[in-house]
Amino acid sequence: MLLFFTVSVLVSDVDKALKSLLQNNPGIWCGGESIKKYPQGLPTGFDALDNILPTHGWPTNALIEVLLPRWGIGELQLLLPVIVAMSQHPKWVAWISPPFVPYAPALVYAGVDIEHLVVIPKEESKAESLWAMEKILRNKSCGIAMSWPQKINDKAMRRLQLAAEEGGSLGFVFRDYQVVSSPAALRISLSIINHQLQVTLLKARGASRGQSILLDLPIL
Amino acid sequence: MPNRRIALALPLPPGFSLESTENISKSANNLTELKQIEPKKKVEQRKKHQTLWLCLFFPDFPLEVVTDSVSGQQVIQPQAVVSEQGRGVFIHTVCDVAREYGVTKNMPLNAAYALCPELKIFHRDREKESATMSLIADWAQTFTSHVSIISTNKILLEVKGSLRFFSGLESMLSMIENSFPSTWSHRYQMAVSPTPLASQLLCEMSDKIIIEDEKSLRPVVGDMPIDSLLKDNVLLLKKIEKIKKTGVKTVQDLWRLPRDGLARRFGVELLKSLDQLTGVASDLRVLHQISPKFERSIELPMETSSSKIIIWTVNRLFENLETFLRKGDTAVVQLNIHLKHLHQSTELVLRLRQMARSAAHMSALFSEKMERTTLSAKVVSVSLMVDEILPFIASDQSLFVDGNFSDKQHKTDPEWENTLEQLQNRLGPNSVKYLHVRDEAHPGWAWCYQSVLSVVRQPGTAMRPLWLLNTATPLPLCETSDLYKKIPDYHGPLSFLQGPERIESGWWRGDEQSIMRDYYIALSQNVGYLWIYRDLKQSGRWYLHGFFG
Repeated sequence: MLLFFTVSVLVSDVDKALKSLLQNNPGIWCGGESIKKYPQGLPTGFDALDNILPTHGWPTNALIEVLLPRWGIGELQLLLPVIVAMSQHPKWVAWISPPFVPYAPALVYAGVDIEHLVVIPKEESKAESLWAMEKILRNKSCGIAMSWPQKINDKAMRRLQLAAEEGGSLGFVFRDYQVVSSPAALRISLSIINHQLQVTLLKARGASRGQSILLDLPIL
Repeated sequence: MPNRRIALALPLPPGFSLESTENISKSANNLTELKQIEPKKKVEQRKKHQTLWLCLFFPDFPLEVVTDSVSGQQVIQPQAVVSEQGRGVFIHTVCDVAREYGVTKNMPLNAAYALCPELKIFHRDREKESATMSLIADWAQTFTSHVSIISTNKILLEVKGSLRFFSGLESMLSMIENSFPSTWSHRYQMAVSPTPLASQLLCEMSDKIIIEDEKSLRPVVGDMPIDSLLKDNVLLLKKIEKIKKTGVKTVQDLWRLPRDGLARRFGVELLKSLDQLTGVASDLRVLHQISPKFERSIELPMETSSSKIIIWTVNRLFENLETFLRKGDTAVVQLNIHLKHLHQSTELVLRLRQMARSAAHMSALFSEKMERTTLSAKVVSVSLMVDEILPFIASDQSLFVDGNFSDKQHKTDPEWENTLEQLQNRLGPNSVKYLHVRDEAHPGWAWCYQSVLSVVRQPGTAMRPLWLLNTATPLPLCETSDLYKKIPDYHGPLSFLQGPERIESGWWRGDEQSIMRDYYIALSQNVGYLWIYRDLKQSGRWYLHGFFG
């Protein structure tokens, strides 16, 4: 009886020490279990996607890197629900050097409040698109900033990541398929498989990588 | 009350009964009674409303302006300012050292040289004097809105209205003394009295004469010698000598004489000045106005090409500008900054999206601009000019930062506007665009970029792509198993999902701008959903016009 009692005391002591060690050390994180600790993100509008994201939605205060083989395969429809929500919140949605024209009649039809969109066309932004992206991301009134940079290095990505953390906004950077690694908090890749959009999680804080889902895009 | 007055003014309509006219006359009687009371009240109120005038007098002002001596520094060399009057050159202002030699005002220059051979003379600079005086008046406006410049070396401040704010005259005077900028080397004397003219004359007699009510003003003014009326051209010298010949020595002596006789012998002006001196007659002064332009420059201590030093110096100018703008409750939309080199100058223009007056904001924009400016030569001086000064309109900000409380209507958010402003300054004035829907059938004209946000709401259109190609791309055709049927190709053969949607528009604009197209939604295996059309005007060629993205 006595022995059992001491063992149970010991176990509870160890438990306490372990807990405090895990909680007070930012360097240690638990795989799998930590999912609950991440703050709720913004719903993406697609349940399947929300389920695989550790934040159950787009992580706020983060830079999200979207890799895709070519523009126009469905990346806008993927973001459309969050763009609609943000523009009606109302917060500003910025398009920095988009490859094509964001078509206003379709956006309005989808429910976007286009009074809260600003576009810096490709011809205007020239070499300054990253600088513009950083400025906009740092602003607290910005909800979403999307950028299609021609060239971007890890250092610049890191700056944008910090800017997004500071401004508390969603930052999307659309890049070519081939990029291997980057400092972005969330990296996803898109591809088309049998008319469906495949979303693959390349990197996410607190989730196992490589998960992928297929989404049926609602065509307008 | 006003109703009754209107009733009296109206002609009586025919058939108006006597009784009612009696009523009106009764009410008219009431009215006259009231009228008798009302003016009395007004007179009482007017009496209560007294004024108190503070006069600042700068005795050595012309000399201080030209020598720019630092206050507290001992002047060893005798100095004087001279001015040309008629045929000769006369001494205008003398420093203390020269005064010891016996040099006095209005002495011919030759006589002054005879008394003091090493006298250093300066010519009077009236322009600089008036510029400096208006700077002093600008500063004085921090204490009262009634500031007027009289003569070249005196300003008057009406301080009665500000006494409560500055908790009494004594603390206000000490505050004036403390806040007098130390960079100004001007020596001054002050006097306070209920009338402007009295303050104006008293401040020359000695420093800090303070008379707060009209009762105690009379004896002081009465003892003033008649000569003191010569100051500031209150009376002409000729007239004063004429008065003195009659045996009158002080102002008091004048009061004893019958007024009608005085007016007949010395003119009505004398009576008017006497009345103004004691506050019996009104004395209106021209108010000093803040100049409608802002133009200041700073000379750099040595020529430099360091942008840090230049930015620091221009920031001082921005601070000056902000105080200037806040004083008049104004704002600016455009700033011109000149960086002067030895031979030429670089001009930088800052255009603001919205009127602003915060120095920090301008400074951020300017540093941004300086980063991308290459200077052709070293900078000698910087100047800031503002041509257009507008009344400031404060933007309303939501008390609740949370978006739930702000209504959905577009509101200007100053922080966001600042960011857009920085973008425009760097990328170009038309770089930031808003999207706009137009009521057009032609797909290429149904949208446009706008530099200004407009709030005209147009409905959207169904079955339109999110991405539109600015110029449609021609699509090649690919062979199929059916020899006679060719289908368009874009990264693989396309399959049609919906269509055709015939769009025919613009025929009234002439042949070139008219369109006749059949639009389809097509699916490409590798790209997804596309918006393509068949141009019926060009014998059915296929084009890609958008991605559903």
